[in-house]
Amino acid sequence: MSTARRALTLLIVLLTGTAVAVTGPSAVGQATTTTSSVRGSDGRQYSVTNHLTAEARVRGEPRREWLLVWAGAADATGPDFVAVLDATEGSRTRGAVVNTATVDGLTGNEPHHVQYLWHKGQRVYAGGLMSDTVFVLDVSRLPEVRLAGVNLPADTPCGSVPDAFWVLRDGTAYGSYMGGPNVSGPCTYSNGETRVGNGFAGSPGEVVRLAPDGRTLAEAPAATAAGEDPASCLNVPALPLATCANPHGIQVREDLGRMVTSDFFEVRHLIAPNVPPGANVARDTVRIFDISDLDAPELLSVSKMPDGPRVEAEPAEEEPRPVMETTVTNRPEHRGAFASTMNGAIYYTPDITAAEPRWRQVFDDAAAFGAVFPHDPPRSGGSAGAWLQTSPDDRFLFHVVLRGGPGSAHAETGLVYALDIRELLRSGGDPQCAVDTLAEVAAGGAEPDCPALAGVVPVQDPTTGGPHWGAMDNFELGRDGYYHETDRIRRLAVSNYFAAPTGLDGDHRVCLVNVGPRGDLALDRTFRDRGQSRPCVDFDRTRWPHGARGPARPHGVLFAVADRDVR
Amino acid sequence: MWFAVAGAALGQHGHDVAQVDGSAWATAVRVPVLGALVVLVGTVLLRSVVPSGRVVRVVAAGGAVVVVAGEALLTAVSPRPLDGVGAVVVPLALAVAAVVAVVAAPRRLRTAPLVAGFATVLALGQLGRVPVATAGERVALVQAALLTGVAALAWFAVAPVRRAPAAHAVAVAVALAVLAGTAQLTAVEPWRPVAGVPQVRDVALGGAAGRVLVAPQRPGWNLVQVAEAGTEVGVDPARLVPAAPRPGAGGAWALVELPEGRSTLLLRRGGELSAVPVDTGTTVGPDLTSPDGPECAGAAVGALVAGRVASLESCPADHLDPADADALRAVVAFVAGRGNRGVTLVADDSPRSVAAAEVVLDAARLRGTAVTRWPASEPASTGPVLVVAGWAGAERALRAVATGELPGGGSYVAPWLLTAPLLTIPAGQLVPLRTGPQEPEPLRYVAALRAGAPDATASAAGYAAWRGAPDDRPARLYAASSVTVQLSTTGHAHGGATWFPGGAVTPVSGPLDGT
Repeated sequence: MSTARRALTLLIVLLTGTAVAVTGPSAVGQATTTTSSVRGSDGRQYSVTNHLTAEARVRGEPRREWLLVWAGAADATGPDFVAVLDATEGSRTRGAVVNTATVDGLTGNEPHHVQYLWHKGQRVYAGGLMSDTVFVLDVSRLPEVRLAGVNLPADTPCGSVPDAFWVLRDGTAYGSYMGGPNVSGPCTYSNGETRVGNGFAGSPGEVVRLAPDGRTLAEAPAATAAGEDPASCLNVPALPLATCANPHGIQVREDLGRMVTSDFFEVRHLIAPNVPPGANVARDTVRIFDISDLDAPELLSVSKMPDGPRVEAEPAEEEPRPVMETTVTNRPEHRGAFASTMNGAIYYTPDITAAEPRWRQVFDDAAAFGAVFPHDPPRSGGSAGAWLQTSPDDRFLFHVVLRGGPGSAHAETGLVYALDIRELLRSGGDPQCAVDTLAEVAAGGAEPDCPALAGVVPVQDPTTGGPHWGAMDNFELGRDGYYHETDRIRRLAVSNYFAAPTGLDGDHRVCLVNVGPRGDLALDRTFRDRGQSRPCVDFDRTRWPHGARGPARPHGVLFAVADRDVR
Repeated sequence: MWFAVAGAALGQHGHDVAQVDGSAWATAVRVPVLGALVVLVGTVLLRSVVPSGRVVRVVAAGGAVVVVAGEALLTAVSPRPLDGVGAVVVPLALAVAAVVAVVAAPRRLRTAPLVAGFATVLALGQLGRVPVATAGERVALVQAALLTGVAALAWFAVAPVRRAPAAHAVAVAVALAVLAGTAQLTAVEPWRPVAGVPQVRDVALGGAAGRVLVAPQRPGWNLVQVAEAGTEVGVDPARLVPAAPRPGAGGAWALVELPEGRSTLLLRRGGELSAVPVDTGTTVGPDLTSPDGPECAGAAVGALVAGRVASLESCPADHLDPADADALRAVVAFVAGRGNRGVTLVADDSPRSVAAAEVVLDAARLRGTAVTRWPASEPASTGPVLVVAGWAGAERALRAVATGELPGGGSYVAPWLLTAPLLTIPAGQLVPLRTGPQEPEPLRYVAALRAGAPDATASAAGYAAWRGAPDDRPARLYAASSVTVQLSTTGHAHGGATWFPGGAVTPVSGPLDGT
């Protein structure tokens, strides 16, 4: 080789090295980008940009099913995004992030929940806890995601801090807004009623009906006109009429004309000098609304969850508070609903149409912990139970628990478990099950109609958090090659992240859990990042289809299929 | 280079408390690194006149190894490494390894030149990514550039002899540049404070790295901020005073009287004494002894992290910005528009607050809104609280709203009260702002703050100073609140640059009339 040729070779290598060093491998360069935008009520343009990888369009693959993950950039200056993961059974790109649909220009949303279940034709409602903003997404052409609407803070003057959503048959959605009105003082709702609130992220929260284009159709008060017990419902600053109305969980039975919400916290409180020790900023109430008029939900009842048999050293870890989640039964012959608290209790009421629903504790997370750790199980007080969901066929109740109670053994272990609730529902309007002894806390209710633990998967998470949210896969691939909705759930998705600012984070993995015919659960070890042996898809990664933006925090998860692939 | 920073501090003060960065063993590492650098540069400079035998090549390669390995070690164990240095050191280690390989087996390893060249270019690429906004970043850039030069010199020292005058000339130029650069970092002392200009400086305190802010760094009383309350500061080891929290401000603060010109600020924590060189210059600066001092210091930090090295001549509380006056008039109109017949006004005696109170009173008079002054009078029985005091007065007022001492109709706070310690108080705060904190430019300010002064708290005054130009967009009302219950005291968020960790500042109105 001549000197000149050697010099040329060296130059080429050096230039290549320079390019690599300066720019790094460019994921963006490999992705196809498309942008959709809408105009917000403030006159500004809001947009979502897809970054579709080559794996998003693979020839020769069967129709595909997707797992949508609403994730926040760990770096507050980075874009939040919906990650589209290939969740197709048998797909060569299973677990691959084939698209990240980034929210442009509006950072620090703290992506939180989307609706509990997606049906063909529905938009996806994705809430930003911190930005008080809801993004409405068109997923009909998955894996591409398009922005269909945006609901801004000023669009919901009587409420703030959106949490969860339930999409109605007409495509509109109810959203639970935990926080109070944007501006302290009186706020008048769509039905003409007025409540006095103590401001953004305070109290009372509300329920908002959202249009598929993001518009606010109605704001409905969650607080009673007469107020509630100030000793039980601390508000800071104090309100003329105390309220515990800070709705978090929200589910609907349109056939029964009922909506159920569960109250969480007056969410703006750090442990601060302003809040007396032991004060009840955590809520123990469940609200039921008449939704005969979808634009004017009427609050029918406010039920306090009863205390259970446990006596905790910390009063804040007693069973009834805070009621993070609620879930309704689904079949026409059932009228019941469940509610769960962050302190380990699961409650049940057999009839949400009753004038005064009666709630009873029917399970304690301690029994599920005991199945995993027969000796020295973690405490359920402070275990931060979260996602709670009945299967569409009403056979199972799925529940996710963040971790063992503080200071207890195996505290780094969270749970995904399934309860067989058939006997409980079969008991009709007169259930006998009641967890009212410590033995029943530890081993499950003694009455024959009590839920039975059908399956449990421990989730190790060495961080301060653990598994928090989940979704059911309500699709199956038919013999015709198309996806069809099913009420037999065969797998779940679980995300390991709560909310970092609370001090409860997570290892940022998204996992699939297989559900057996009897409710037995098993972690799907084949759903993982390419080239990795560890199950689950890790969101603590350097590169995304939208670039080297670093770790992300996955919260809301949802199974979905492109319109053309589902019948 | 890294060793040069500590060397400067030692050289200037001449006693053992003067060491700002690093421990005794780190200093022990720096000495052979400096020696090896001299050997390497000398070898290159003499290359054209002294035959390059195997011994010379081994010595040169050894020198390069000591320099790069020493720097890598110091970077790895540093509690606060300079940004960019680590990314450059790693490829350089590869380049030097190639050099060593050539020395060990010059005939067999034909790929070594490629490896060395590739690694050096990789290092140069990383070098191009080192930010240069702050003094610390500029030092990091020089340090990384010098290390890259070291790798190039090492290669020249061991490469086969070529009678190319140009190559020799380049090598000599690089060698002289490395030598001069090192001298710059050691003798000229890049960390030396600029006389009369506020300074933020790294300091080892109680076994941990921290940063200290000195403002205005002028003769007389100065405000010193450290991260931890209880840290003692002063100029006389026998008369140090403990830093303590200030209302509405993050960190811990102490007032220290500094003499004219150069002196040493002492800090003690956990029994360990550290020293920071200060230079107050000759002219007296603005008064930071008032409760508004921390806000003024925050403005100084904003200017510093923007790269503006200038003395502090005034404080935000010295006068009312006309744009803020417009925003306050608009707030009064908004409050009146919601049907409030009265407000409780909270002000203090700073020139800005006095002027702001007059603006509010005039605007309220026009709209028929009754104004009650607090704490001079009993608060209005209903209606919101309008706060135009400084940080300290605002903190007291907002806590009074939270506890019910002041009416719970919410609080409207002046634009200069946008800072996290005041927003965490649950008082239903609304603040008129022209730019939302989550918009790109304010986030760039916070990112600069995290990089240049990570213990500092983002503030409206800091942002205005960082921006350096007025914002003429119309103001909107933003609701500000914590949005998360603290469910665990063991975990904490790592959110990167953010104005309000765990909280939100969210627009809840359209443009306010008259702004």
